[in-house]
Amino acid sequence: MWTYDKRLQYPVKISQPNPQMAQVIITQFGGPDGELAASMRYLSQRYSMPYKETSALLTDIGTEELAHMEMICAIVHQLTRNLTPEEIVASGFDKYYVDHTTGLWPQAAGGFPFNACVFQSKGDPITDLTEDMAAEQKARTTYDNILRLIKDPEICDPIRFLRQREVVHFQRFGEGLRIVQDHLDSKNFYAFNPAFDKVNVQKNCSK
Amino acid sequence: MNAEHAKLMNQIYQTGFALDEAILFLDTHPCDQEALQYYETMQECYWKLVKEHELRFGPLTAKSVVLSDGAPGSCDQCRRNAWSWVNDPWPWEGGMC
Repeated sequence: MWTYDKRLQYPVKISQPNPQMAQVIITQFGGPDGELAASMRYLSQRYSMPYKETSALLTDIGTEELAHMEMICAIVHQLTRNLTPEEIVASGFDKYYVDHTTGLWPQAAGGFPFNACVFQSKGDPITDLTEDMAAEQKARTTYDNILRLIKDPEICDPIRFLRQREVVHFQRFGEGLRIVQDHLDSKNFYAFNPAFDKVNVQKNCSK
Repeated sequence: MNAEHAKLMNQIYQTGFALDEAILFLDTHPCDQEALQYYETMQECYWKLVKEHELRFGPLTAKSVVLSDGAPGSCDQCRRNAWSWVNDPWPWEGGMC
């Protein structure tokens, strides 16, 4: 189960609305490398992790991603406060506004909806952790792309925090992958899937 | 939010983040004695600050609402206990920053 803390993981205080930037940043809510996909990826994958360290890691990073999703939503919410219809049209926010007003809906910057096909839960620890490392790098690149477009320091600050977390998570997943490999046969990591195969592979191989 | 509340929240943000970092590090280094000691130090600071927040400024979780006379969140009209968990502003509205 989960408990909600009535605070963000890192403060978001944006005074100037910017609906144009909101349409870009919303991609880290519902886009292909966004925080919702990250959280669902890790929280789905943890059930087939055969080692305690990696089960813990996926639980804790999956939980932190929910907090990142909340930060992204807070940023988008604060960037779309108190808009006039004229500002909505001028900024190009009208296409989002007509379907959602200024409510939060998980979509990519290009407008397509959140889709579970942007992540995998493959039931194989090496496969899943390798995907997780790539996912953190893809999210880091997305934040780098966002940072090139932002001038307002009040938006930059929480986005920089989120970018840093991608780098830390990449490091931790790398260590998780190493832990998995240390449990396996160093001559062939792929001899069996520790999340599925019950056979004594060493005995089979020595035949 | 007054200056004292903001200062306390800032300390909660800092120690909370220190714990977030320590937790992930310990997941992949469960025997690191230095990290364990760091976790313990930050854990003590964090819960002390959270407890202070709950007594002076209101709850941070729905399971830790303080109900006593004069507790934060008492009803403005009747001055009696009220369910302070629902009080604005929520974090995305700039509350608790």
